[in-house]
Amino acid sequence: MDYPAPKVLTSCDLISCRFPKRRTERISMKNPMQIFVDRALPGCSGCRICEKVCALQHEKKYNPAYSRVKVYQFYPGPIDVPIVCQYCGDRPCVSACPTGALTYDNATFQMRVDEATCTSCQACNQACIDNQRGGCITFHPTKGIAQICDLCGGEPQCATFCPSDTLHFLPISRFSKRLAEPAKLIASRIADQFYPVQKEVERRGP
Amino acid sequence: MVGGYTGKILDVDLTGNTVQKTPLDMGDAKRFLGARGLMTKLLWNRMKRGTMAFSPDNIIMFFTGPLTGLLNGNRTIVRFKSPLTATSAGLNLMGHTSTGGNWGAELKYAGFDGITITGKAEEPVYLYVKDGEAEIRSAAHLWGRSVFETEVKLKKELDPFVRVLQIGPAGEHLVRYSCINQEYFYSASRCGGGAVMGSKKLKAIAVRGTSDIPVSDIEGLLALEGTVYGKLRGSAAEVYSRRRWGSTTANISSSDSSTGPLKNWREAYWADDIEKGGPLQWESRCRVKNRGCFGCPTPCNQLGIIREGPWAGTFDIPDYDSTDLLHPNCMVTDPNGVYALSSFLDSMGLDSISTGNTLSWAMECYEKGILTKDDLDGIEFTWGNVPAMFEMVRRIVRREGIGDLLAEGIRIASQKVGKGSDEFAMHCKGVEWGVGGAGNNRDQRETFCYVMSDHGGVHLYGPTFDGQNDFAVADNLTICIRNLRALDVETLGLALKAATGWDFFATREDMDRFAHRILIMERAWNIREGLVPDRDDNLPERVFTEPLTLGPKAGTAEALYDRKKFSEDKQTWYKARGCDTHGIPTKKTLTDLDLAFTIPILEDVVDLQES
Repeated sequence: MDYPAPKVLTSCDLISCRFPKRRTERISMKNPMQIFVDRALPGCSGCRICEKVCALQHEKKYNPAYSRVKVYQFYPGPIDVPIVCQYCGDRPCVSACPTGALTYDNATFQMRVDEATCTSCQACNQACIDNQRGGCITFHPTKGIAQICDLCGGEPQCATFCPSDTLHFLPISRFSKRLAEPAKLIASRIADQFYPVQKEVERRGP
Repeated sequence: MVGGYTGKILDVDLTGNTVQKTPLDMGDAKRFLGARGLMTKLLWNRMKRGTMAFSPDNIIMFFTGPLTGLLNGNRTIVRFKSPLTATSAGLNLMGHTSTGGNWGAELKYAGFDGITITGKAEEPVYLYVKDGEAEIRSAAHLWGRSVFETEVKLKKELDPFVRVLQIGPAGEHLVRYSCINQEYFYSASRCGGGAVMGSKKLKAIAVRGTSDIPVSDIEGLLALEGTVYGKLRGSAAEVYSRRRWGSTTANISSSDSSTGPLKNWREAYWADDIEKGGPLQWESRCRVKNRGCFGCPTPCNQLGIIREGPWAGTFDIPDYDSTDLLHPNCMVTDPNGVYALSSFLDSMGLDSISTGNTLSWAMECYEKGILTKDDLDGIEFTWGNVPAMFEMVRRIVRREGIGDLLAEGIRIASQKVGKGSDEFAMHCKGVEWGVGGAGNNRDQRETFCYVMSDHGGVHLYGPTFDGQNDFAVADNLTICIRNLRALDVETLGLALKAATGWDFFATREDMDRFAHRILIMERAWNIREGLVPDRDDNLPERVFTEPLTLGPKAGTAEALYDRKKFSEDKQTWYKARGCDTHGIPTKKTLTDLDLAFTIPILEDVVDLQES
């Protein structure tokens, strides 16, 4: 496909534009909230600051293996896709847990893992994948216990620190449909935007 | 507790097919701080004097520093005896190059501060490091594949989260300026590290780690995470520019200020066509998103895709160096051609800086009739001929015909061709000139980046005296130079104290002393290996004899570098660095900097002055 050659700007003076400052106001967890992953370009830069601060928040250690958010890379590109629990309404992970270690707390709107009863069977993550979602549950590198996004109790560090405006902390009520999708599908949607072609928007979900 | 270091080095011997874990010498760590300094010390201890670059005895090292994986430290520093950097007598010198991305941090998470590789494998191999264990595996199925294929193949084969450093076909064919790539477009590009890996038949190093990095004071670091993030995001204009256009903004500004390369560095100012490869072209035609290295809040790599013409569908991340040396220096006026070439060089594992220089040198030879069409295998090698450049790069990668000559780099090529072609062979100590931060045609201050560099004409040596100190510290802490400059010395001192528990530096003087120690140590190593500073700290003839005729500097005193002024500048430099008039560190300097152990060996090679 041939596009007309764009008109060339000549000056470098544009670089003195002001960088818009991020709002970092806190929203307390009075409503069900989630981490919203923005798929619009330019999107995630793959810096993995979210992984780093998530691990620091939960374990106070420098090791992205403790992170509840995971940045996938897809090629060619690379296209970076952060995957984190989207707080789906139907929660296949909870019903898949054989010991009841993984629960949703209706009072605080948070996912919880009971370390004493978790058997590291990884059935929750498999259920997440099997239901065409991201497979967002990670496992402790030594103990093997399931790790899932608990929204840092209402102050999610990943959204606060995300330098690319990709991760946002938003009320679930903003979205009528669940947003959890496999990383590969998200990557292909991002890749679709690489060519400025109008695509038909398909409706998803129940 | 000493944190920041994992305390282990992985020693790999490819001849004996063995891997071994060696404890890190904490005394050296305290004295030399991190990657760049520690590696110089290891080179001094381990490498035999006079080792040639392609000999199995050559050691290639990949190191991290005390802040890698913490805060915003992410770079991997690579050191080896370089096939490209050389004295005018042809003795190989130090090769130094670095890359960002995720590899360095992953190595720390895998439990190692660094990897040293020596020997030579019989069959192609790759190294797989996972959580404190390492294995040498056959790379028969990877050999001959491009960088892009290798990356994807290894990720599919091992683990999607594995981080891979690999060489392309250029490294396998020992092209002297081949590079080591990572995640498609990040590369440790200068000085020919890819060729050293290729000579050892090592295709790739894949790393995966899930263990903690020990730190001394986690609360201190937690407090600093926010501070550092805030400081790096602090200066609005700089951050905005970097995130939106990346380093290519310098493309136009360097030409406007008459400091860019044009026509094999003959001129420095391109009136009209400079916009054809600049950041705004890239943004309007190709750019889709930006990518950043591990932990960096100001991602500056602009990923994009070519959407029209014969190269439609090609991904690329152009940066200042690759676009400037392929676009004005080879006088290419087709932006898509520049981006396609840059992407092709990355996929073949070639350093786009050296390749750009080599191609422009060959173009000038063709223009002047030094190389004829017959010499160039029938290629019409005129300025800006993109299909011919593609054809030439294919020959260089496979070392076919004329490509075999050009694959040697312009120092050797110009010696072989002769006929005055060495007067416009733009290299220092064998390494072709880079541009980023320092690449100025006749700028008397900044060309010193190339003159004094112990790694050859590398733009990452630092343009000014303070700049060199900055770069030495940045490479030591494995922090990107742009991020280092956004942080003050106190923050760095606090970060090091929190990470390691040691007071490294509190003031700028302390930091400069560290940097000075590293720089002098490097110089001492190079002198041991045959560097004669008097003779080898030199510039290409063109800088002294052919004045600029275009742009703001034309007709002024800055159009040409006066030879007398050059030698005066050199003496000032030697004096400031504590060297004698021949550029050799004095005994006093070496002792003051805690480098007295080098004196007995250096005395064998040169006459050391007392002070």
